[in-house]
Order: sequence, then C-alpha cells, then structure tokens
Amino acid sequence: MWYMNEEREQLQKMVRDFAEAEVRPFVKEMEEHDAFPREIIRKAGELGLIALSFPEQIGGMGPKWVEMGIFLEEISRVSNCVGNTFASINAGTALLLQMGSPELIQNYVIPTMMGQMIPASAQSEPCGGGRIQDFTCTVAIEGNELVINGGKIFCTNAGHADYYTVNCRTKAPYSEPFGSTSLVLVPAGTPGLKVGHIENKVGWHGSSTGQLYFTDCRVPMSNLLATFDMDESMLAAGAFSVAITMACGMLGGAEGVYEKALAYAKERMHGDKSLFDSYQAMRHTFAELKMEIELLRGLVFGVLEDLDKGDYNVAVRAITAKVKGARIFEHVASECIVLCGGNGTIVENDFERYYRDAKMNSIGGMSINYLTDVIASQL
Amino acid sequence: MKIAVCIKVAPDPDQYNKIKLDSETKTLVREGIDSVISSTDLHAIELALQLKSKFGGKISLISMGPPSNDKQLREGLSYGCDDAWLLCDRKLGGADALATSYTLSKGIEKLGGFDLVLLGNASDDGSTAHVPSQLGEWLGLPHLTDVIGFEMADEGGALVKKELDNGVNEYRLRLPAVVGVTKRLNKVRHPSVMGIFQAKNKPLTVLSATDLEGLDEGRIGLAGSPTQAAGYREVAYGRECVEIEGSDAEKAAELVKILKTYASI
Repeated sequence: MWYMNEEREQLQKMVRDFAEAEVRPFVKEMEEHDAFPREIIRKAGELGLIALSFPEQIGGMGPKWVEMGIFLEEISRVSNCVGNTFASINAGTALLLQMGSPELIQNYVIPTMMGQMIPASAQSEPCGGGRIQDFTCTVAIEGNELVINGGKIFCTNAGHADYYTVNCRTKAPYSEPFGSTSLVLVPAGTPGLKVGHIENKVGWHGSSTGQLYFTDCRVPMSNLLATFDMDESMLAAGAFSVAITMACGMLGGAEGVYEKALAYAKERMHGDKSLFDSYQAMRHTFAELKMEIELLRGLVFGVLEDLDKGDYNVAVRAITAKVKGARIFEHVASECIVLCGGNGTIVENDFERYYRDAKMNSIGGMSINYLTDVIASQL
Repeated sequence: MKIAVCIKVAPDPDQYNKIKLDSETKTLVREGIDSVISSTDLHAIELALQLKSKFGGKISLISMGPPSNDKQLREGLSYGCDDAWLLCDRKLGGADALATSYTLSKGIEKLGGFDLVLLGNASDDGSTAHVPSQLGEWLGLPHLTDVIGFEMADEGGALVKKELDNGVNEYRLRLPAVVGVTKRLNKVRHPSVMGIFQAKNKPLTVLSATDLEGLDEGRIGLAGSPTQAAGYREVAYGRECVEIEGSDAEKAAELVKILKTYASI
C-alpha cells in the first residue's frame, strides 16, 4: 500500500495480533451478554494505541492519523463494534481536548488516553437528532455550580463511561459571557445523574447505547468546557473527525467479512473443485467486492494522509467516506452471506454479525441522511 | 544481566497452505509467503524482557539469514530489546542445524560476555530442536532444552523446569548457560506503540563471515551441513468411518482397543 512503511507494517502486525488475541475471544461474550470491552480498552491504552490520536503536548503519540486509521481498521476486521468503541473515545474527548482546562485534561483526558477511563458524548435528545436549538436539557448557573436538568438518548458508552460531556441549553435568563449552548463535563456517579434504559440494538452488541436522566445534577463551575452560541453549522464542522474515524472501522469490517467469505469459498469443495473455482459468478462477485473495498481504502487513507500533512479541509471527503463506507460495508457483508450459502446464514459462523454491525454505521455517529444533506448544503 | 536471544525467521504459519517445496533442492519455496519471527523465539524474547525488568541489563538479538531478516530484527527490537546483530553472508546459506548453531556460536563469541543465551526450543519450520543443545556445546556452556519454567535463584544461577514426556525435571543451572524455551514458559506480550516507534533508531549491525573471528569455513553454510533433505512426500490426512458391531460390552472393548492403538491412550 502506498501509505505503508516498515514502521506502519509493524504497527499493523501488532494490532492484528492484538485483535486476534484480545478482541476475538471476547466477541462471543459481547454478542451473547452485551458485555462491554473495558478490559480490551485498558490493554490498548497500556500499549499506547489510544494515544495515537492524542497530541504530543499531553503525552500522546501524535495525532498520527494514518497510524490511527491502521489501528481502527485492524481492530474492526475482527469486531467493528470494538473498533467503533475506540472511535467513540476520540469523539468523547475531542471537545474536552479543545476546550477543557488544564485540570480537566489532566484528570480526564490523560487517563482516557491511557485506557483507564471511558468517555461518553451526550448529544441526542428525543426531540430530534441534529436540531440543537430544540434541545431541552438545560444547565443553570447557581453560584459556583452548574445545575443540569433534562435527558439524553442514544448516548454511546452510557452506563460504562467514567464521565459524560453533555451538550446543554444554557437556561435563560443567561448573561454574558454565557452563550446559548454549554458543554458540561459530568462525572459518572454524580448525584442527580441516572443511567436509563440501555437499548437492544440490531448490531454493535457490547457497545452500550442508552438514556441519561439529569435531575438537579450539580457539578462545579470548573466542569464547564465551553459556552457559546452553537448552531448546526458548528456541529457539521466537527463532523469530519467522527466521520473519518468511523470510516476506518467500516473499511476494516468490510475486509474482515470479505476475507472470511473468500477463505470459505476457496476451501469449500464442490466435487473436485472449490466453490470459488466452480462458479465464475462467484469469482466476479468477489472481484466486485474487492474493488469496492479498495475504493474505500483510497478514500479513507487519502483523507488521513492529508490530515497528517495538516490539511484539515477534508470535510466533504471524510463525510463521503462515512456515507459510502457504510453502504459498502453493508453491501459487502450482505453479499458475503449469499456467497457462503447456507453456512453464511448460520449465526455461529459469524457472517451475519458483520451484516448487523454494518447497518449500525448508517445511523451511529450521525446518520448518512443527515451527512448527505451536509454535503448537499455545500454544493 | 547481559542476555543474547537468537531468533530464526521462518514462514508465517498462517500461510502454510501456500507453502510449496522445490523438488530439486528439497527446500521451501519462500516467494509469496510472509516471514515472521519463529513463534517459540518470541517466548525467549519474553523471558529476556522479564529478566531485564527485574535485574536490569541489556538484551541483544542475533539472527542468521538474508538481509531481509532486518525487518524481523526490528520487530524484535520493538518488544524492548536493545540491539540486534544479523549474521549475513552468502557463504552461510544452506546451513543445517549444526552449521547454524556453529555460526551463531561464533557470533555470540564475537559479541561476548553474555550471562544467558536464550532461544526457542524448536523453530516453526525446520523444527529439529537441535540448535539449543548444539549451541551450548559449541560455546562450552551448560544447556537445557524443553524449558517451561525459569527463575533466578537467590544463591546464584537459575532454577529451571524442563518438560519431559512423563513429567517435569527441575534443575539448578549455573550461568552463563544456553536455554531452549517452549511456548508453555510464558505468555508473549504485544510490543507497545512506543516500542515500535523507537525500534527504528536502535542499533542493528550486519556481520559478514569475515567479521566472525576464527570461523572454520568448512563448518558453515551448505558445505558445513552434514544433514540434507533426501526427499519429501505429501501426507494426506483422511477420515474413515468405522462401525463397531456386537453387544454393548463388545463394542466398548473394541472401542478401547481402537483408542489404545490409534490415540495412544
């Protein structure tokens, strides 16, 4: 690959070994019991894998975008859910890193980078996804405290996170310098914070998605990350980071199920020839899927290389990678089930897990419909 | 504590289904197959790292092979080893276990001063399990193979557990010594990201045959190898269904007989 060098090949091998040794044995537990991969996150943190996307100023390795892409891709070859959990760590700390005080960075970001803490970003509300002006979760300022009331839904890592960055409407009447939106860090276990129902999703079993309730939940003023007049355009401006990290996982997931199906088709005998050698239709389908995967790779790592060069003008391509990546992953997983015939449909054979996880990528981390609209709005 | 770890670069076991044999040379055709550090050697590296973390010191990696082995040596360095040495010369090509152990011993003698020489008990590919003992003999050092336990003794030397077919022997081993380890010895760690980034800046030195003092050229490479592959054949594994007839007691007796014969129970 054009973006690989010896160091990156070693990283790829290391992560591939890590995924086989640490992630694959845990997949069954995640599927059957919705078990959260905390221990995997801790080990990845110890090895410095999470630090790949954190700046050197706080002890991170980079950010090294291509290396982070290799990490997420390789993890997702085994479990797109675990890959996405690592992507959610990036999303959960991005604003904290940009806006948090040195004390918050020391107490929350650095332990997260080392795999010792799990973050969560609490954004969506029942009133609707991206229309933040409709959000009803409020924060009021009382003396030196922030008081939160309201609720959040679809919060990734709910119940397992050690802290939540909560997007709140600043309660009127507010005065300067407070804006209409406030981002507040709420540690897990804070009185007044209650984790509600954890959703039973079609895919990403083991990734906890749930509701949060805030009832007179008080945190010190120092937990205020930022306050500003936020609108949807600001939300869209931050979309590229989430989009490209998730696209790395989609690439890995598509590769994982593709390689599994190809190996099956080459090993499964049909008379004296393998399935693969028996049917030209199958070979061409595999070829088509391979081309889709390589198209996605070109897009994903092209964006990551630009980010490494400091070119952050990648929003359209990063969002394209997320939207097209979700469709490619789902198509590849769907076709692989068909290519493996009856064995493709059996749960224990683990093809359908990729298909269910692929579907989640169309919604999680901003829906592909919303993101397509973001691109349309820039035409 | 100064430790040498000998590593062999072997075909990736995950790609054994691609391996072909050259009918002329009776050797593996390695084109198109990735190479990796032989898996038991990783357990030797792990032991060395554990000893270094407890007692301090330095770990040197030594390998014999083509220039491309530098990739696996860099990987070995990423685990936390300190330097690497590649014995690389066309004259060394085609070596069997004896010629390999002789050449490695000359490399180890050149570097000198090791308290411990560690290596995998047997490689993933050749799997003769000859090299550790032969290396000990060439170096004139005590040696133990099939090692499943190793710890330093308070009174000096090491307490070593060696696996036998029907049990475990425990030894007190005087150092310096050569130890061939098995996969049961420990769990190999993953290299860290920092380890990978640091590995490229660690010293990796290539030594040719002329760099090895006192080397007897009659003992190296193909010419110095008394064992050669005489031939090979493919072994086909098939499954056969056997129906046991008779009364329940007769069936049980027959089953026991089959298990004793074929499964060595």
